[in-house]
Amino acid sequence: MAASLPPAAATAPAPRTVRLAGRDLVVATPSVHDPRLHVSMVIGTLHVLGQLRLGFAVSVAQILLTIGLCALLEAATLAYRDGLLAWPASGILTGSGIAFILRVAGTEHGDWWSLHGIEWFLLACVLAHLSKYLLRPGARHVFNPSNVALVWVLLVVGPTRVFAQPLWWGEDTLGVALAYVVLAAGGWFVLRRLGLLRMAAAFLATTAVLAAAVAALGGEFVAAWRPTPITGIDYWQTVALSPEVVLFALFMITDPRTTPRSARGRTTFGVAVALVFGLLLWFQPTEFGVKVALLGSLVVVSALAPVFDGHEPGWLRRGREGGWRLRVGHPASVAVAVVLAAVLVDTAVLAGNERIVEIERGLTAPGTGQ
Amino acid sequence: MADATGTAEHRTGAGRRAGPWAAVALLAATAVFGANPAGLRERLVGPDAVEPATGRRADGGAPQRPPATGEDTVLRSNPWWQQLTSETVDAGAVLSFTVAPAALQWRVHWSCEQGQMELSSGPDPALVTAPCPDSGTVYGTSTGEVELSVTGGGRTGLVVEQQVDVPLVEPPLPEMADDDATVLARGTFEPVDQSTAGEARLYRLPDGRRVLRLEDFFVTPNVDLELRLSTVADIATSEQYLAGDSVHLADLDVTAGSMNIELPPEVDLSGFASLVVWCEPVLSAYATADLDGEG
Repeated sequence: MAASLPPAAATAPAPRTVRLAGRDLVVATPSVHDPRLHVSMVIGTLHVLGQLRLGFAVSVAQILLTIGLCALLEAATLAYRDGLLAWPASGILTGSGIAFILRVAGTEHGDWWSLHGIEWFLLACVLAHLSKYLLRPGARHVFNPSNVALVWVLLVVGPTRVFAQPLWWGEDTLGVALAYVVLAAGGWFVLRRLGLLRMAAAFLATTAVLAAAVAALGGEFVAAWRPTPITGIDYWQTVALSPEVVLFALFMITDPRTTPRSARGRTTFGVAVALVFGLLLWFQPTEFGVKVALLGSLVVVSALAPVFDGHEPGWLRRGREGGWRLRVGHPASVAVAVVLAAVLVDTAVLAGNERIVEIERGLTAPGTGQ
Repeated sequence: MADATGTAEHRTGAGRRAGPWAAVALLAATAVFGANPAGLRERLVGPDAVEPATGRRADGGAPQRPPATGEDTVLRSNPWWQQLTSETVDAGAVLSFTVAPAALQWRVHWSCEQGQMELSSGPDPALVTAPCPDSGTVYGTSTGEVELSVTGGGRTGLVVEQQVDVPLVEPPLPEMADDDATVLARGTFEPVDQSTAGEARLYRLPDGRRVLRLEDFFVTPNVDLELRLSTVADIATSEQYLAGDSVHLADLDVTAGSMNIELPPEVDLSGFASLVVWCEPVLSAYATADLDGEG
């Protein structure tokens, strides 16, 4: 007598499949409850504000192509690797994040369909995708894909071609206020459900304290949007309260896949990112360096995210005498170590680069700086 | 057969193992590149560097590499006119000159004495056809070798200039190193309304001339800039500058580089505290340098 199936299994519908390129792909439909969809909506709203009110120097074409390529890469990988035809929510988010932060020197606001420097956006997409699927010494990818790709492009391509969205979002008070409202509402709605609000708050609070300390000790940096160096209370305000920093805290460091799982671990993680940011920030004389320090701090701490839950990072192993050792026989582990070291060293080296100071002070040829 | 298959599998496996390590090596190489060793990144990916001009007159045509630094630069000046040649020619003469590839345009100031003068370049329609005596200016945008043919007009004066936006890097005047030369004052440029950098030194030369030396000087480019001496020190705003007295020293057409500017003999330096880069049309003090007197 044949065993009967459990009632649930007997009535479960077969997954819908689609035949594509000789393969049967399981169709995974998007869910309105997917937090990635909600974050995409927040970033998308900020993109619109950036174009309509805030004068962001990025074109609609640059944004769409970046999102498009990242989505395509994600969808293709899911189809090839997992046999899934799925809405590429992660890819869309990655592309949106890259297009929100990356800027190419010479792109002007209002040139809606400019493809100027599109190669740097697409490079960032490819790097993000590779980091997600290749830098996996453990079960998960180590770095936030858009974050590590942005840092890599900024450091390797350099400030004469690319830079990050400035910390100051312009003089449109209403536009900036709307941006803060979108950030706060989106952050509250998304992060509260995921238990990530404390991480963001821990980062922002620690950053505020450290920025105040750096400002009080005479820290200053030059930025293209102000002829005189930014010091004192302006320094603190620009670093601690910038909508860029708030966005970073709410929607970049809070990637659930690359951050600790425990509540305590997440809070400590947020503090740690802020501490590394403060350390890297101290030496930076330019806004370019400040932004790389901000983004780079997450790369550095992400490599050690499992530690905050009391686990071993996938790219390290316990030595016989205690402590951790690099898995030197494992390419992905070595690659993580290279990324970690490079971000720290290359960000520190930025501090001595006088060319960046010239660019930020508007002294170079038009189109080669901000 | 089994051995051949095993060898093929070994090669395939080795290839698969080598691939990731090659990727790691590439990653490490880009990491080193990102540290910008010896300015390698700027040389490969950075903006085009150009040769600065070494003088307000380009002998032989194109701007020349400065002997002092020999370094190309990515910095740019507000566009300025550099003289290529100045000659007085007879009717029927052909004047040749070379316009630098980086030049934005060129112009010829002409003046003729008698008859009808025609100025042309190659088979194109005449640039100028004028009854003499007369004078004027004609512009062109070609680069490289240019030949101007002068027909009629008697003796015709021609001053040819090219407009460039490269910094001007003049060496210090030899007299500045003379034991009898005096540094009257020096200062460092600080931003007021715009960006700036560089040093200023005011010399009295052995022959009595006073010359202002700007060293590694940059200010945000614009037209209608002038150098002025101000009685106000520690200028932080344009309003502070306007509250004091000032005197015009020189028009500032070149906004980047190192240059020597001779002061008008009638300017009395006593009572002045700072040097200011001023833009009269918008009433803006771009930059200032407090002058610390030494002699």
